[in-house]
Amino acid sequence: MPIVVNLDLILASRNMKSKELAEIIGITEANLSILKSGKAKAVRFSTLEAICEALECQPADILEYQQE
Amino acid sequence: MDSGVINSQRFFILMFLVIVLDIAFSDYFPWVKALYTSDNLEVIALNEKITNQNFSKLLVVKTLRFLSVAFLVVAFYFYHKFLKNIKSNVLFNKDNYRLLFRVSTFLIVYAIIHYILNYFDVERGYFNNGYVVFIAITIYSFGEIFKYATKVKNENDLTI
Repeated sequence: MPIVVNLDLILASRNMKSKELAEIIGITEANLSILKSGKAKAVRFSTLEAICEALECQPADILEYQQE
Repeated sequence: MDSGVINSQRFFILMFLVIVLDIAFSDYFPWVKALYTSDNLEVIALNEKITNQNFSKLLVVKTLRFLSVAFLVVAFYFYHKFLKNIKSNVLFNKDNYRLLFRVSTFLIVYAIIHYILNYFDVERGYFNNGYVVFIAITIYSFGEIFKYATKVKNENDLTI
């Protein structure tokens, strides 16, 4: 998939664990793992909003388009 | 695990069922029953001369009959597996639509075999061929619906 999720990098820069983020944004760790691994087919705006709010970043910081 | 797989034990049970059904159905055709017992074969031999040509024809017919019943039993088995999955609340997964495709395929093959038997003018079939093909097409359509539903469900599951 040409859309890459850079959630790991943002989490590392914020010194935050996946578990903490999952708790803050109200999704399961399993779902967060799906999102991080790039297996997700779609992301809800509400989830993206919660992630951006929790990590104090922009959607562009999390999602990146890479040509195949 | 693919729920459509038949293990060896089930295979033997199914084949036993096929033979029992085949013999049971052959009661309607005494000359076919003769293929299973030597006594009746003698009766048949008395009634009509079994030539070499006749024998090869009977062999083909017997084989086709056995195959047709086998396909029908396996189709029912797969349909039973599908219903079992539905009862256990496993609705939209890969196995279910594959089972439906298999059922329709086996029913189509059954209809084709009976069409061939009709060509030999020895078998009218237990079921009307037209109905069997119609049911097979209906089941195939349901399989396609299940396939699409499974795709939608997977996408929904992977929406975070």
